Amino acid sequence: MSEATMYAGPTSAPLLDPDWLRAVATEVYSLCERMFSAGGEAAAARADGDLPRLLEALEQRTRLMHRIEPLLTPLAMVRASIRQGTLHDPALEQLVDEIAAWLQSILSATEELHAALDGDRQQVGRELQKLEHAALAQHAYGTGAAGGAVLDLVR
Amino acid sequence: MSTPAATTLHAAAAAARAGGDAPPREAFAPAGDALRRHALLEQVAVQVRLQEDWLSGQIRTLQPPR
Repeated sequence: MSEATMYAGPTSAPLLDPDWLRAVATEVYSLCERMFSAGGEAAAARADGDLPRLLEALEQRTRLMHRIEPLLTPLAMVRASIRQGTLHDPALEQLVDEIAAWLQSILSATEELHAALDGDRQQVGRELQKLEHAALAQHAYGTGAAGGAVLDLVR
Repeated sequence: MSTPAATTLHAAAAAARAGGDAPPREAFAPAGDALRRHALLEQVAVQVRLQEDWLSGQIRTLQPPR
C-alpha cells in the first residue's frame, strides 16, 4: 500500500486495492482516449458526408462504452469512498478527476455533433418533401408512373 | 425552388411519358438516395442520443464532491 493511501475500516480491502484500482483507472483512461478518437473520426466522416463511416465510428464508440462501463463501477466506489472519508488516495482521485474530465469533453463534442446532425436531418427532410411535391405534381398531371412510384418510395 | 433531385425526377417522368409507362430507373435514384441518407441519419441519431445519456450518467457518478 502506498504511503499516500490510507484506509479506515475493514470494508476497504480488497475491492479498493490501490494498485488494482490504478490499473483499472489507467485502462479506462486509455479507452476514453479511444472514445475521443472515435468521436473525431465520426465528426470527420460527417464533414465528408460519409454517413456509413459516421455510423461505423459511432458504433465503435458504443462498443468502447460497453467495455468501459463495468470498469467505471469500481471508480465510482473510489469516489464514494473518498466522499465518505474511508479512502484517501490523492493520486487515484486525480486519475478519476481526469477520467471525468475526459468523459465531459467527449460529451461536449457529442452534443456539438448532435446539433450538426439535427441540421443534416432537417435538410434531408426538406429534400424528401420537395421530391414528394415533385412526384405529386407528376401524378396529378396524369403522367405518373414515375411520380407514383417515387411517391410510394418517399411515403 | 426545385432541387436537382426534383429536377431529375421531372425529367425522368417526362422521358417516361414520351417513351411509355415504365418509369426509368434514374427516376428512383434521387428519392432512393435521400431515403437512404434519412435512414442512416436516424440510426446515427439513435447512437448519439444513447451516448449522450450514457456519458451524462457516468459523469454524474464520477463527479467530485461539491
